[in-house]
Amino acid sequence: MKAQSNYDNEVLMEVRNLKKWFQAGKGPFNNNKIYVKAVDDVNLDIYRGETLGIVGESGCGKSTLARVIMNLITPTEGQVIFEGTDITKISSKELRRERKNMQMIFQDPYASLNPRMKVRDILSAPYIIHKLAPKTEAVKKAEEVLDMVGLNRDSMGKYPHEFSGGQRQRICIARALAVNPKIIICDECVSALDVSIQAQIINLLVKLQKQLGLTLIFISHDLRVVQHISTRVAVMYLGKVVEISDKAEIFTNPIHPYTKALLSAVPVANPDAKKNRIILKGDVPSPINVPKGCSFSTRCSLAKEKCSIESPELREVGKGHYCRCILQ
Amino acid sequence: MDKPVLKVENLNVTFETKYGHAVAVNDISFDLKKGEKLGLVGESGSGKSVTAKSIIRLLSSPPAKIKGKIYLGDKNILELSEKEMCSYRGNRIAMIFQEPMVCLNPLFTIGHQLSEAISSHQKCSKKQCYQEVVEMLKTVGIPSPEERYKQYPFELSGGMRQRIMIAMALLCSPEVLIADEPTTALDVTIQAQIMDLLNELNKDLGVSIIMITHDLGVIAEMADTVAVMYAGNIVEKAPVRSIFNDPLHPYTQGLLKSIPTMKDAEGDMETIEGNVPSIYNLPKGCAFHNRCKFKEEICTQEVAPIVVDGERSIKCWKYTDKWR
Repeated sequence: MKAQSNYDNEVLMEVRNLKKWFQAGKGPFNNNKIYVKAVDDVNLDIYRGETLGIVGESGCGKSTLARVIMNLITPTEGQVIFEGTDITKISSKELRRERKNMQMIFQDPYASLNPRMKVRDILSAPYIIHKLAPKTEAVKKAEEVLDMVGLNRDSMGKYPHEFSGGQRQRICIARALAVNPKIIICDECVSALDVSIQAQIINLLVKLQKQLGLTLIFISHDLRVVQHISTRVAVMYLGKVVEISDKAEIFTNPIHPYTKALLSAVPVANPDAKKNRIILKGDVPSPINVPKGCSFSTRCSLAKEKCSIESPELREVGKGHYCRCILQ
Repeated sequence: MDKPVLKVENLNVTFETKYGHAVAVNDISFDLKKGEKLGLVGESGSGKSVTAKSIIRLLSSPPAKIKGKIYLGDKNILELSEKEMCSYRGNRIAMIFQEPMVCLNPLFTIGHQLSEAISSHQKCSKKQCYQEVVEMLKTVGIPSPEERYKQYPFELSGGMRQRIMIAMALLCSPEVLIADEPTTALDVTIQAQIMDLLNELNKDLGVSIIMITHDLGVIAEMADTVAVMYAGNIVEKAPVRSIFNDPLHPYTQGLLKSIPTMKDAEGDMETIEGNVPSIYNLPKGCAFHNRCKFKEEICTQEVAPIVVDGERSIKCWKYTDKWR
C-alpha cells in the first residue's frame, strides 16, 4: 500500500514495510524465539522540504525508527529508499557516502559531543571525513557553520563542557549542517532543554530549514513542540503508526482513539481551559507481549469484541489522512 | 483565615564549593495554607529543588549553609535536632521525588517498604500495618493491592511506582506533601493519571501540596497559587489565574510566551534571549536584568524590593515608585 499518494510534492525518502525486531531470549518451554517488535511494519513517505513530526510515548519505537531509517541499526525487514537507492541493501562504503545526505541530532547534547575534542575539531571533522575540504579550509568552513547557528567564533577553541545545554545543542546542529545534508533527523533534540532555551533552538531549526531547504524528521514526545514545528504528524503506538495526517487535520480532527486520548492528556498552560480529558486506564503493554488484534484494544474505551481479534490496517479516512482503526 | 501550615521566612541557601560561593536560594518567603496547592515553577538551576530539600531538611550541611526560618505549625524546624526532625520527616511532612525507580529499594518488597513507613512513626501491630498499607494502595488506585504487596519494585511500571511513592508519603497522613517533579519522568497519558490522583487526594485528605515542576501546563492544572523562581529568587507569586492571565514580572511574561501552545502554532516563537546566569556569579542588582527588555539603570545597581499587592507579590523595580 502506498500511503499519502495524493500529495503532489516530490518524495525524498520512502520507508517501506520497515520492521525491527529485537530478539529477547527463548521461551521457557520451547525454542520459539521471543521478539520485541520495536518497529513493526512502518510505511512512510517523506516529502522534500517538509517537517514530519513523529510522536508517541516512551517505548513506542520512535527512536528505533529513527535509527533504522539512518541505518545505524540494520532493519529486520523492509526498505528505506532515499532518492531512488535502497540504503538497506548497499555496502558500508556506499552507505558512508549516502550519510552525507542524512544527518542526525540526538537528545542529549551532553552525551553526543566528544568531551576531549575542541569545537574546532568537532566541526571540521565532517569535512575531513567526507573529503569535502582539505584540512586548512575545513576550519574556515567550520567557522561559517558556527555563524549559521548563532555562536560566537571564540567558541572554536573551547571544549564542550564550557557550554550550556542550549549552546551544545547548537554545536550539534552545526555539526549536522556541516556536510550540507538533505534530511536531518532530530531525535528528541529539545527535550533536555528548558522552555526558554527550547524556544530558541526551535526558532533556529525553522530558520535554517527555510534558508537551506532542509527536510526534517522531528521526533518528540512533546505534542506542543511537534505541533509548532511540523507540517505533517505521525502518531506511533507499540511500534506501529496508528495515525498520520497534516498537522492541522490531526490536531483539530483526530480520528484514532489513542490520538484523541494523547491530545487530551497534554496539560494546557491555561487554568481556565475546559478539560474534557480522556484518562486512559493502565499502562502501555510490553512490546514483547503485544495484545492480539488491535494493539490499543486493551486500553481503548471504544473497544468492541472484534478489536481483539482482527488487526486493523492503515486506511485512508480523508485526504492524506490515514488511520489504523477498524471502527472508523 | 487559617494559620498557615508551613511558613518560610527569609530562606537563604548557599554552598561553599571548590568552584566558589554559590547562591542557590536567595531570601525567599512564602506561606502554605491548609489544603493549598502551591506550584513552584522555574527553569533548571533556579533553586526549586534546593528549596524543597531545605524544607524537609534533606540538604546536608555543610556544604550547604541554610539561613532563615521554616515554621511547621509553631516549630521552627531548622532548630530541631536531627532526632526530632526524624519524627517529623515522613510523619508530618513528606516528599515524593522525580525518579520513582531510584527512590524505592530494589531488594525489598513494596509491602515491606510501605509498612516500614508506618512502623517507624507509630506503634502498630503487623496485622494492622498490613491492613493500612493495603487500604492506602487502594486509595492511590492500585489494582489488586494484596498481590502488589508481595511484589518488588522492578515488577511495576513507572506510573505504578510513582503511585507507590505517593502511597508511602501519605501513610502517616502528613500536613505537607512536597512533590518534586513527580510527573516529569512519566509519559503524558500516565502524567494525566498521576495529576488526577494528586488533585483527588488533596481534596479528600486535605493535605497541602508544594508542587515543583518546570512544566507550566502542569502548574496551570494543579496549583492554586504559583511562585515563579529565577536564579534563586521568587520573582513573582500570585494566584494561578492572575499568573496566566496577567503576568507582571518580565521573566514570567517571557516564560509564558516561550511555551509552544497547541493553538496558533505559526511563525517564530518568542524567546528570552541569553542564558540563565551562573549561580557562582550572579549579576549585580536584579538577577534577571541582563535578559530583561525593560531594564533601567537602577536594575543593574540594586536588588529589587518585593512589592505586595493583595494576594500578589512581585520582585521588580518596574512596579515601585522609583520607576520613572
